[in-house]
Amino acid sequence: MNNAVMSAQNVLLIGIMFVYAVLVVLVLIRAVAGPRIADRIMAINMIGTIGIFLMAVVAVRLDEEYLLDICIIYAMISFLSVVILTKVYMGVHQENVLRKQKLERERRENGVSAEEDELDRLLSNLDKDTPPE
Amino acid sequence: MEWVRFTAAAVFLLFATVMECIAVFGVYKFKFVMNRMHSAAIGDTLALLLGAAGLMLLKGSRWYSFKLGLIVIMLWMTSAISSHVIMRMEYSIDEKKVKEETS
Amino acid sequence: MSRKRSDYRSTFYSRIENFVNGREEFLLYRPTGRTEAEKLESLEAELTEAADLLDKREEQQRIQDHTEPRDFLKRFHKLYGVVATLVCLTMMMLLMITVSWLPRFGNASNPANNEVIKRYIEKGQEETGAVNIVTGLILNYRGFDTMGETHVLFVAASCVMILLLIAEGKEKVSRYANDRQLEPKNDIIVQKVAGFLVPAVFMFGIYVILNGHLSPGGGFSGGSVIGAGLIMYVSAFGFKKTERFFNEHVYKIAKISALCFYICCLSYYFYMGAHGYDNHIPLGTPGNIISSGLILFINIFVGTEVACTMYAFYALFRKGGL
Repeated sequence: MNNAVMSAQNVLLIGIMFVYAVLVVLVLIRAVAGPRIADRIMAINMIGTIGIFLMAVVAVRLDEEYLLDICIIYAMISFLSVVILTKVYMGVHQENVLRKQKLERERRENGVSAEEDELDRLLSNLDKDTPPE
Repeated sequence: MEWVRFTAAAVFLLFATVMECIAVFGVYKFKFVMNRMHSAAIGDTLALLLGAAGLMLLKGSRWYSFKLGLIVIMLWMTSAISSHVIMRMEYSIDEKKVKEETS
Repeated sequence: MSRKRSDYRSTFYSRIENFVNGREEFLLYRPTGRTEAEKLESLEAELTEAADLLDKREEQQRIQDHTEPRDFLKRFHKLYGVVATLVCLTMMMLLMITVSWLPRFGNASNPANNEVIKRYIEKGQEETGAVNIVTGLILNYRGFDTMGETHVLFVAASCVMILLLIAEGKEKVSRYANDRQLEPKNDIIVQKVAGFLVPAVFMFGIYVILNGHLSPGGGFSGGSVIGAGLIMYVSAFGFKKTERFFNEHVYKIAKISALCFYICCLSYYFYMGAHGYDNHIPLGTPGNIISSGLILFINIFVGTEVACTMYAFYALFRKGGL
């Protein structure tokens, strides 16, 4: 391969890497600001995909074949993290709903109980997990 | 000949970058969670395929092509399942909202 | 293993035992399918059980809450944040100052460039037979260090077991039945993809372990890949199906035998090296899979150890048992 093609390739790959780095920052802002929990998990998954592509670009630029192995592992681990996070979060949410129902039932039975502000505090804590959009 | 190959690869890679930009733009634009997820899926599928094809053309080596193809196959399977799992979580933790929006 | 199975009552052998003792008619027809009402009933029973567990946990929390003064704790939390920030900032400043005093990277007169590294790079492939110098360095020259790391993994898993293993009781039965009460189980889409993906992941991990002396990777990374594959299998199919091929018995045998064989291999190296004998294990031609003496076997043992530890951590934190 002659020199001109090599330098053009370098410029192309480095430019693409810069653009993708900016995109990673933008997606990270979405992950921090995302109003719902699905937004955050989705944004992290997207960062994983962009990272995989960046690694492939680096592998081609440095001519290191073994970096592509890491891409495969990264794809697998991001999938695994999404599956387990969603599973755990659904369980936690179900538990919260059960607890909320129980508290409300107790409140109805006892009328206005002495621990009212305590209950309010607990309920507001429960609401914090799923912020309104 | 080399220039032709390089140009083809550059077109593919630039297309991939544009697609990823569109995906991120969609993530910011839409108001509803599932629409955002749809636009994120563009980045996971089309942009990755175009980028991998561009890198294959750029390198032209057999091992690179094989491994990049493996990455594309793996991500196409896993990202679809991740979207499904996230969607299921979203639907199950907040059923009322979804019904209001879709009806 | 002296613990009895939790579902012993419903097994085939208990029915035979009952038949021998005259307690049950063995050939009697028993309807297996459940009606809708029964299903609903069992679902309600599950829900009430989960609510009971929640009650218990809440009660514990209340007891713990009342034993400590709350206002003091609130004030202490604010103070804690301030002090933690201060400590972190001082630590960062100290480290930055130290970094600014370090010699330039790549300078020929740095203290890191001594005869040890020269020897590793020049004679490493010749003496250990491994193309990947790092693996040869870690598993051959510095084998004692790596043995300590493997033991750290073993001790960590044992400590987590001491803290989190649920020995017996009602909670154990309810947790063993399914990994969590309220979480979604048996999603068929995830199951199909996991059935396709998990064997590929296992094969990739075995490839990384077996090529440890030829390419980047080795026992630690390959073992963690296999452990991640096991975790993926569990998250798709549940603990009951995993216990068919990986339960506490298999875990014990695999882990302890891997450690013992590893120590045997290393003590051979130590004995021969300390007495100045020649190494009698053929090194083979560098670049083949079967080469470089004992490094291949040591990689396999380390990989087994790491995979078992990864899976054990996940299982212990999820359900309190293997």
